[in-house]
Amino acid sequence: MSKKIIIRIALILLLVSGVSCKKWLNLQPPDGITGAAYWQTKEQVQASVTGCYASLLGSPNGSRSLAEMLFLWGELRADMLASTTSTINEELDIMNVNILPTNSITNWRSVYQTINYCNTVIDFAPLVLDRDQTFTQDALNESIAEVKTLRALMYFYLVRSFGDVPLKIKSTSSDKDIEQIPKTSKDSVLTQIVKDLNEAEPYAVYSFGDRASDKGKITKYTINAIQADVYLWMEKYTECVAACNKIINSNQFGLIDGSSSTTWFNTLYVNGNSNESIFEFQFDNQRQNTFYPLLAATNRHLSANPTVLTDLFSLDFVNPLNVDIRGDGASARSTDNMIWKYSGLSNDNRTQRASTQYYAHWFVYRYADILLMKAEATNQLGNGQEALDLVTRIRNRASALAITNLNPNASDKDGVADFILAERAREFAFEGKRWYDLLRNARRNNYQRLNILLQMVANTVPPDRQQAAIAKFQDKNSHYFPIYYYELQTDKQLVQNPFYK
Amino acid sequence: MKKDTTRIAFIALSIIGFGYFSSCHKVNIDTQTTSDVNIYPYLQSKPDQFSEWAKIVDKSGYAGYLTAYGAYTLFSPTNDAVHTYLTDVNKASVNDFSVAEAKDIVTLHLIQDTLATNTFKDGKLPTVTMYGQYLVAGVTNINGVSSITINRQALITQGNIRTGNGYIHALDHVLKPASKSSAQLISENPNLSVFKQALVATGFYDTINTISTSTPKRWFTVLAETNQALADSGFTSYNALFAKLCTTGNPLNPLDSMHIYVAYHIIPDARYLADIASASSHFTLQPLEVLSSKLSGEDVLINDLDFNGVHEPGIKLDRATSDVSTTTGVLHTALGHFRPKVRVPFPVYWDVADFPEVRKLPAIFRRAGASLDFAYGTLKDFNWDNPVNVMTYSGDGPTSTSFPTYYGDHLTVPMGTTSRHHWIEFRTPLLVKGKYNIWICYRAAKGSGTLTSSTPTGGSNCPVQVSFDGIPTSRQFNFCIQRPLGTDGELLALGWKKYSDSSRIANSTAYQFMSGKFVGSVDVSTTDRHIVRFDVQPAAGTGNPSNFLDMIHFIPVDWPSQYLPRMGTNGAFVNF
Repeated sequence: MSKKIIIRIALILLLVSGVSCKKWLNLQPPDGITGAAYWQTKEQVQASVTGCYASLLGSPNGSRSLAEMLFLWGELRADMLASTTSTINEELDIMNVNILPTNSITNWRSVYQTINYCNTVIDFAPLVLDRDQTFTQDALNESIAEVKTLRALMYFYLVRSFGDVPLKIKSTSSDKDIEQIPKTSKDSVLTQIVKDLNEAEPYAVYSFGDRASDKGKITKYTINAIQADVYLWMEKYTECVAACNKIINSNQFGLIDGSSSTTWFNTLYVNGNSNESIFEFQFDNQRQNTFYPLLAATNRHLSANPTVLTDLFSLDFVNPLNVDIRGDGASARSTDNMIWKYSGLSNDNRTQRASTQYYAHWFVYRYADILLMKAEATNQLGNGQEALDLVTRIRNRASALAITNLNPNASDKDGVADFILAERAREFAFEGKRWYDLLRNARRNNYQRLNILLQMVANTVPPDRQQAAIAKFQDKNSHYFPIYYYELQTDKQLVQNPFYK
Repeated sequence: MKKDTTRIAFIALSIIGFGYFSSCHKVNIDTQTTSDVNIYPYLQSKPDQFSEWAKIVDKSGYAGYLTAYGAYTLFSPTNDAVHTYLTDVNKASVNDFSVAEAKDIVTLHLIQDTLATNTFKDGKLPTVTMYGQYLVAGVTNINGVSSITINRQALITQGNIRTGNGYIHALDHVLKPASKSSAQLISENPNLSVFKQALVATGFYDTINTISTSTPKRWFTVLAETNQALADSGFTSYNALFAKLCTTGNPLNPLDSMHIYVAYHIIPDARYLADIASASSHFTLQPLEVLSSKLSGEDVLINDLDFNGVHEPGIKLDRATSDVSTTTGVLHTALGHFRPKVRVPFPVYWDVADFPEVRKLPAIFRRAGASLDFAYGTLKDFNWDNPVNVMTYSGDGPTSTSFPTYYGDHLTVPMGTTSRHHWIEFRTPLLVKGKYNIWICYRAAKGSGTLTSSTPTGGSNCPVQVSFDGIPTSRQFNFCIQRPLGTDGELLALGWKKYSDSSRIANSTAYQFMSGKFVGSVDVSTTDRHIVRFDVQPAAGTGNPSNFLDMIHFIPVDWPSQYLPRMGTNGAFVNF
């Protein structure tokens, strides 16, 4: 009897164990990794940090890539672009000072996507310390320093473009993390940026050991460069000079020799990762930038303003061989005013990249930028001569024409500032910096020089919109973008920026 | 039994309970494609802002169709704005308006078009209001805050409210129509008294005082000169002006200079400063006399011209006192005295290879061997049909014997009926009105075959019809035909000339390809820049790649010589 029972039980057990429905109840997706299963090894941390950098190259579904966004934000509102017959209305509206909250160029999602990636690493990478014994505290600190800096850089773009923005420093990694948050004031965002950079600086590396990583990932010098830019924006000139000096005194960087304009153009722009570079978005054959349709195709949206070559760089009518190397064939091509930094394959015979070769890098900071930022800061500190010497260094490298030398008196602070501003326009033409340069100079000392913007806009908008544009620019709130309408619909805590109500 | 009752009760309760909790909910099915309201219902839905305005709209009888579908833009004054307006017009409430008054108010605020604020420019809105007056947009900055203004009377407090049938823009004041004509405003302004007397004397005062009822409504833009402007030019009184200008003694005579002077200050259209600045020339009431205009910095200048190599400074329009809407149009104030200039036609030897875009390229411009393709859309004064094609500038240098062109350069303009240019348009330099002969000066060449002086029978062919301001000239020319041999007189009779310095060598075959061809005479009706157009003719087929255009000459028909001076390769004019 009991034997029978034992046999029956054994049979039942066999049956049950043989046909268990374990698989049916497994909720893990077979073709992906979930958050719970991730964050186990140091390789995964490394992969996530790389993912943050990769997000700089890509775009969330359907919206513009980050580099294109930064180009449009930095150039559309300034004076160096011209529209073409294919310019889309949204671009024209921004050029004509007619921005509505429905303009998708003001959609900041590609920036916040990168911020969220950074937040995710900051929140989860520390968990790996316990799970992977080979992951050290130092390695963790290094990774956190990189993503914190990247986050600070993204917020710096946002705060200069929008003013007050929502400050999100916790990751949104599951549905329960989705929250509606209000805007944070410009000053608090800047404070957070400075805090992030200062926390990151001690832990960041000087070098990753290879050139490509040093230029495409964040080193101590990248942090110093961003610090210099942030301090300049915050009008903290002593701190700005100190940050610039850290880079200058490292002796790790220099200006690429301009004696052969062909070699100079190839090294600096065509190949990228030059010794002059500090931080670049490294596009390549597999991951190209989106500048071909925007700036280069037959039906391109935007061209260089013809005055860039004739007035900004100017011409020597007596000796046509006497040229500013940054002008024709570097910034733009004179025959069709095509923006050449991203389209050009050569400086001398003006060969254009094939449409499949659009992987010129996006330049975030170069050594020339450090020198000119230092010049701007020292000038504000009252040391005009040192500023002029730095500008001369930049001009000599580029064989700038004598006619563009404004030759201000070293004690004339505004004169020197104007000269630096013009030199920055020449040096960083179409590198997405012009609008921020103009705005920074205009807003200095409580908008003491608003006229810079008013004069600029009087010459860029069509005659029938000129007066309206000037009157709009007199309102300081108009210098910042509106919050895209979709963000207002999804986040009820957000309030539209004042000029756009 | 009792147990059964309890059981039944329990079951019944369960069924009721089940039914209660699982009852079929009413499913909400959207029967409309959109929940957007239309303009009038929107106003009703915001009584705290627009209740008073909604009442006026209702009274005017427009509520019905502002509820229906269509495309409208309604400027809607807020309740505060309406109350201020009521005080201004001494009414106790909106009910005191008559239907006609309400209609006038509402139609001035209503446009049959959807206009978001990004379509607003400095001047008038693109579409007229249903009242029949244009609204003027602008932007003002008050205490650091910039807002869009309408008619300089009201600020937009909330713009671009999107409804099903158009846009609503909320205003902080009710708009009032212009009530005075241009003439009335001029006569009320003591600073314009001299100009007013001139208007009265020449009979134009009534022109700009009467509201025309014809459709389309006739508007006039008046550029009134201030007394100061006239005094600066030496006319301290009307009498001084009369003494100088009135040549016939009767200012009403259309041939009298006084009449011409006033007619030249009236543009038969409503043109605000933004319109004036964005077009280069404007017809006036003086037949065939145009005002030219340009924007220099922020100044709108009239007749700022480079004429025959001399710069004539323009007259500035005063922004503060201009752009005044009136019942008859627009009134501007000019800060200087100007009148049509009597200019005598003179020959224009137009070097088509000298244009602003190439002048900016010192490495190319007039350099031997230099060549450059200009892409479609990059040349301000040239236009052609196919965006894929280019316009090529070629430098020959002053010593070239195969291309002894004027200033050693030319344009290469391949034409044909297939992929090459079908047509090309050039904007000429300023031509004074008068009668001119047009000469096309080119370096004849053929892509294939031998060049002759007769219609090509083999190889490339490229006959071209020239037209001037859209009117075809009497003769064609052919890039593939070279000039025949002959003396200047013989050639002239055939419609040819030796235009190039090198080709003057008597009856030499060496420079026969340097050809000047007469294509016809034209009447240039206005002193202005005009359009010359080349249309390739069907006989061309695929056409000719080597079309080398050097110059186009406009020589007054009564000019002493049609073939002298000849053009040197170094840019010199040679008079033999």
